[in-house]
Amino acid sequence: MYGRILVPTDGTERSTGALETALQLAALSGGVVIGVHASPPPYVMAPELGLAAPIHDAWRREREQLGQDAVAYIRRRAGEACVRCETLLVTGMPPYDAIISSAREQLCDLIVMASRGRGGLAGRLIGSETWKVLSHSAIPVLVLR
Amino acid sequence: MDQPASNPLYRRILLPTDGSEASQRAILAGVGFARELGADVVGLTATPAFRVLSADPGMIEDTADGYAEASRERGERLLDAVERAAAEAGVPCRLEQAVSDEPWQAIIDTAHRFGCDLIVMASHGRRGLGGLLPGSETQKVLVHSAIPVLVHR
Amino acid sequence: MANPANTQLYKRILVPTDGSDVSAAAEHAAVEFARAHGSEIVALSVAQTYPTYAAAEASMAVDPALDTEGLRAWAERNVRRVSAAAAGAGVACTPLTVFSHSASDAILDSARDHGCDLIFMGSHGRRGLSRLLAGSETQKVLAGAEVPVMVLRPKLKSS
Repeated sequence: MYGRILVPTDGTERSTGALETALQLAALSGGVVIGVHASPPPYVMAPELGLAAPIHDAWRREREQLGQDAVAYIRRRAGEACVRCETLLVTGMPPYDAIISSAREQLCDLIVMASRGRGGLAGRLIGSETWKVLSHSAIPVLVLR
Repeated sequence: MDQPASNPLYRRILLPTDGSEASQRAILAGVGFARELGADVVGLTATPAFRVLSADPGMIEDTADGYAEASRERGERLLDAVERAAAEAGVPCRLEQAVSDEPWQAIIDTAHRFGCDLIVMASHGRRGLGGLLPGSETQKVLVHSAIPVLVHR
Repeated sequence: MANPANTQLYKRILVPTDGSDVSAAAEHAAVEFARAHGSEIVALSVAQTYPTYAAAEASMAVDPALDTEGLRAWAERNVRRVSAAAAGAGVACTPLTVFSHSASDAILDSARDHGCDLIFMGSHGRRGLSRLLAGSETQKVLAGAEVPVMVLRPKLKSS
């Protein structure tokens, strides 16, 4: 039923549950999982960036590495599950925007995501990015606990 | 009801309906999904309890019994739609009517009572606006549900 | 070249400490950095407690294994070490001890609550597919931070 399933990843184990469900759904339908990692826009400083450039470069490299590791993990898991897979690295826009745009551009028919943002048991039960995706998505969203 | 199907992903899907078009689309999607998974479904309506003092014209003009009867009939009509869709898809189906002032609570309780492992519902009810309305029943179900929720447009 | 205060790069740097050698190296670097840039430091130690189920049916009995005072004392020792290093370098330092189920959440919340514009932390550093998504606190901070994160990784002996 769902042949092009988008699953966002933030590069941490919070995303593994959604990935496993997406892989199972894709296996059922013979479909494809599209993994998306979004890096939020860089922190912009008021003074000239010049002196901060090395720090920002190092930070940017760390986050790029995190993104690459995240989609590499998705590809590896998809390979193990014998599910077709594509991955996207999106930068410069908020995660919910990256998810919505990617879902649209990639003609996805389902988004699978975790409910919890960061905050653990005592924190927010539904992450703010999840709410934003739910508010803006034109396609069904499967929200996992 | 018998034991649900032994599919590892989802075995029993709750389909709340309020009769809206969005709800009807969600029902069709939910039933289709159930067929693919080999799951069964539970259709559910939740209507508010009768109140002597109420702004609802249906309640003001009616007695408690009359209101309850009208509610039940309406609920049955809505659930008929679920039953028909399930029958056409060959999906085992059970129907439940709940009387509750908090539909989200009835949805959560029913899911728990029947051992449902997925809820499929529309993003919004009768108001016909896009997106997830703040304070909507879907939003409340999302916050309180212990099981996954598939939010359909 | 001197860095005048009004073009100060980073005003307040969050330095989480976990008592490890890797952390100690990052603390040292953070203090040096703060001294060079005229920044102040918020030294954070997270006393990590473990989540219990919040269900109403849960027993209210206190888990005897949860040594709150011991955790607090450990956390405060770590913070004092950073404070001492900061004082030695003439760097203003705010000590902070937080109890939390999640070190990364505590780090991100503290950075926000204290108006930090940089996070300076050590990482136990292993990358690669075998370590992916193993719950690394560094990864979580990187994934969630709105300010730059300087990650110090231990140098590998061989590569």
